[in-house]
This record gives sequence, structure tokens and C-alpha cells, in this order.
Amino acid sequence: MNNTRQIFLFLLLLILYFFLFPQRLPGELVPVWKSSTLTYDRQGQNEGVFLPVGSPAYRGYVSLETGTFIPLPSSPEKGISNSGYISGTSGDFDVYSSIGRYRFSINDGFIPFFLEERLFAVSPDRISMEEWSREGERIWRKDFGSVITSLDSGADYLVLGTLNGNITGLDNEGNRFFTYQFYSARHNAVFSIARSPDRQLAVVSGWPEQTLSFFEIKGKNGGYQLKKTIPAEASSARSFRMFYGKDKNSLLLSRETGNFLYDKKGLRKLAGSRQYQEGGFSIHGSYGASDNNSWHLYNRDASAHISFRSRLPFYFTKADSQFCFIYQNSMLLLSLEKIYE
Amino acid sequence: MNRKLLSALVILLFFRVFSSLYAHQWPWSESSLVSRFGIYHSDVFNKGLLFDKNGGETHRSESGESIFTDGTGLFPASVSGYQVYSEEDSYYTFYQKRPEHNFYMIYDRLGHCFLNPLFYISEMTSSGAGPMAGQFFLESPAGVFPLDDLPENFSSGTFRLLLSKDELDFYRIVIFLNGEDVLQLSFEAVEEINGSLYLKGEPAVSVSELSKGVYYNLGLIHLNPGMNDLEIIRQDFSGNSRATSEMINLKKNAE
Repeated sequence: MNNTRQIFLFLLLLILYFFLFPQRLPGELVPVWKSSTLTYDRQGQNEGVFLPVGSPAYRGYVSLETGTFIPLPSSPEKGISNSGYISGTSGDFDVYSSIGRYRFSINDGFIPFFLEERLFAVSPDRISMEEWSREGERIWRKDFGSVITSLDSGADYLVLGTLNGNITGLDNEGNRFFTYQFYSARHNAVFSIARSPDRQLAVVSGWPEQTLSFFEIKGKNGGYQLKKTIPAEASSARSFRMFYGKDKNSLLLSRETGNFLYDKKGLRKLAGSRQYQEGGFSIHGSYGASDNNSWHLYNRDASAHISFRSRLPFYFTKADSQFCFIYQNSMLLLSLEKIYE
Repeated sequence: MNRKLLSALVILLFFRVFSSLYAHQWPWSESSLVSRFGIYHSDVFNKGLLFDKNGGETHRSESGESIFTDGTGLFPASVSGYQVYSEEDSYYTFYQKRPEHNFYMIYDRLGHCFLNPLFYISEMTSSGAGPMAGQFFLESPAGVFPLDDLPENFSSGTFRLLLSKDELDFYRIVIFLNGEDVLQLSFEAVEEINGSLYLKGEPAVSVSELSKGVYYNLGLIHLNPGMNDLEIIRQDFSGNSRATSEMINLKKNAE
């Protein structure tokens, strides 16, 4: 009798435990959908949180509080960030704040763009680059002697790779604090470069012999250490994006041939990522579609994903932990906040 | 006069024949040339050729091996879309379809420099108009003056010969002073040395620094007191030549 009572009590506690502390299965994402129609409103936009949307079809800001969409004037040459946007055509660009206030112009022949809330501009041949402050001052300009093929930036430093196999790190004032030249392949092009907040660096270079190299940058005044080099699948000579995971020990590679993950288990292709028709990345993750219109959305370290079927292409951007999908005349906001807590 | 012109043309013909060994096809069958190698657009030196968007079939050499294609979407559309091919591992050809123009560029891997693609394209457009006159200047401590409008008190000495960088419509210049060729310069290639751009010239001016200002720095020439016969012969890629002559009368009191 006592045993029965104890078993009953144990089961009750077990049920209570799972009720109070629900376990989420690995690989599960719980999307929270918010829908909004595309209503245009430029009133009252000084307040609240706005989401920059940079899809080819729609460019503007979405109020996350009211769901209204504020479009920007159409122009083929524009970039958008949380702090502002760029308008204009070749050779004559104007930079505006996110509330549409004119800040300054860039008309030195370079083409401006935002990367991680920093404003850069690149020469038409993509050999030179410069950075602008929010006040409209050119902070630095550098000629890299070869076409820039890949770059990654954060608030503290910028790294870039070139077609001739050189990688360079620049601090916020444009000073080169490290350089490295790849020599091992017949063609030493840098196809992708990624940096982590703790000054780790990953580089995919070389064609047709392709490698994935890991560096550790030591201090602001120069110095780096090549930690490891492994063979990478040379599936195509196409540049691609890659990101460090939140745990800093995993790396997500979004290639034309699928998404790959590198962690302590090595480099491997993610399941269901073959034959991608289209792919994309934000700071929070990646997406891609297989040939049966099945879309897969991964979180940043690729530890979880959701899949759904859609014939319609979509785009996404980021603001905090929100993804924004737009197709036809409707807009959907997808919150993935919980998986990052 | 005829002998000088003939010798200049022989030199030009040699380079033209030499370059045809590496002949490439016109990159886009229906596109016309919009901007040439060496012309500045705002602050940017054009290291390749700009074509209009008429497009048509893209011509690539059969031996070219694809080694790089843009795929990240990191860069603005106007500078994206690079496709890079290796030609016998010795130089790269770049094809880029921008929203407003098509862009073509050649990089010499062994010489570490960007080549003037018009040297390597077999099929030329023929304007028939001949090269533009260009604006040449002499620089002295007193300032920069057009050749045909030197101040009266301009005295003898060593001067820097400059070319307005906005009027580059020819690819080779031969300059004679009193019957002797003193400068030969071809806009054949540009290379970066310690962050500065340099034009490669053949053969008398091997390297000529590009002024960051308004002019190309073609080199130094020494003008003597009295009459100096400065003759400038230019040739464009359509095979047209133009010769102009300037008689420069200098006073004594060398600088």
C-alpha cells in the first residue's frame, strides 16, 4: 500500500515537474507569427521600435508596435540599417536617418552600403573601400590591390578577403592590425570570411583545392595565430556566407550546394539542405529551399530548425530576434526569441 | 617629320601585333564602349572598361577556367555580380553586369597589375574620328600652364609634362623634342605599389606616377632657351593617329 502511494506520489511529482519545467525537444523551433498588412504611414514614426526591411520588393521600416510599413522612395542603389538608409544613384548618394532626415552625401564615386550598422563604401571595381561616420566624415580609405571577395564586420573591427588570397583586419580607424596571405592552392581566392566577437576568424580559400582555416587574432596591435586548417568541400567556386554560432565553437556555412556545420564533430552537411534553390542568412540564422518548395529555417548555430512548404519566395531581415517575411501584399513577423534565451 | 611619325607607328604596330597574340573577343556582342581604362570617374581610376547595357551574348575565351563567382549579396548591386576566369593561370578576366553598365577588367597575376583590356581584345570599334587632342601642360615652380599658353617670362629648365586625366582617348603617346623621342608612354597597365597607383609605360618611361590631383604625370623634360619643337603623337585603338606640334620659346635664366 505504501509502495503504491509512493509510486503515485512519484508519478504526480514527475507530471508536476514536466508541467512546471517543460522540456523542448532538440531541433524544435516554436515560431510566433504576427501578421500585418502593408499599410503606409509616416506619421508617429519617431516613437517605437522599427524594423528595417531590405527585400528587393519592399524597402522601408516596419513598426513592431503598430505593424505599419513605411516605404522608402524606390531607387536601385540603397542600403538600410536600424540607424538610417541610403538613397541615390551611381556617383551621388544621400544618407538619411531612419526618420527620413537628410544627413550628408557621398559623391566621391564610391558606392555606400551598411554592414552591421557601420557605413562603408566600395569603389566600383571593388578594390578600394572606405568607411564613413554617422556625421558624414570619411574615417578611412584603403586600396587592397585586388578585388574584395568577402568581408565581415562588427562594432570593433572589420576583416576582408581578396581574390589574390589576402586577408586583412582593420580596426575602427582603418589601421591594418593583421594580414595573412594564402599560397597553398592553384588560385588563392578567399571565398568566405567570418569573425566571432572573441576575435576568432574563419576563412575558406583556394580553388580548386579549398581549405577552411581558423585564426586567433591576438590584440589590437597585430598578431594572429593560425590554429587549424582543414580541407573544405570544393563544391563550387562561388562565394558564400558563414557565421559563428552563439557558442563560438560552431560555424555555419551557407553554400550554393547546401548548409554546412563545423563544430567539434568536424565539417558536415546539414540534413535536408541538398539542392537548395535559394538561400539566405541573417545574424540569427539561415534559410534555404529544397527543390520541392520545402523551406528550412535554421537558428544561428544550426542546433534547431523549422520546415514548411511554400511556393512563394520570401525575404527576411532582423531586429532583435524577429524575422520578417514578406510576400505579395502581406507581411509576417516571426519571433524566434525563445530559443536564444 | 615623316620619319618620326613612321618610327612611332612602327613601335605602335609592334605592340598591336604583340597584343593580338593574346586576343580576346569583345566581351559583350551588342555592347558599346562607354568608358576606357585610365579615365577617372570622381576619385576613382577606371582599371577596366565600361560598356553599355545593350549586352547580347557574353564572349569568353574557351580556355578560361571559372575560379570565382559572386554569391553572397554582401555588396551593393552596382558592384556585385563578378565572374572571374583564369586564362592559363597567368591572368584573370573579370566580367561584371552592373545595373547601369557592364564592366570588364584584366589582371596580370605574374606582373601584379591591371592591364588595359583594349590591348587584348581582337575586335575593335572604329570611330574613325581619331584620338582627341588631349590637354598637355608644363609644370614649373610658378605653376601649371597649357603648352599653347605659357607665360611670357617662362624660362628654360627641367619641367614636368602633365596630361589632363579627363581626356584620355588614346592608349599610346610618343613625344619628340627637337627631333628626338624623349618620352614614350602606353596606357597598358596599372599597378599598385605601397598604396599608390602607377601606370606602366614602354619603354622610355617605365613607370609613371599617377597624380592624385588633376593630371597624369608623364615625366620630366628639359627645355633649352630659345625655340623648342615639341611634337606629340597619339594613337587610339581604332588605329587612328594624331600628331600635334607646339613651338615653345623660352627665355634664359634657368630655374
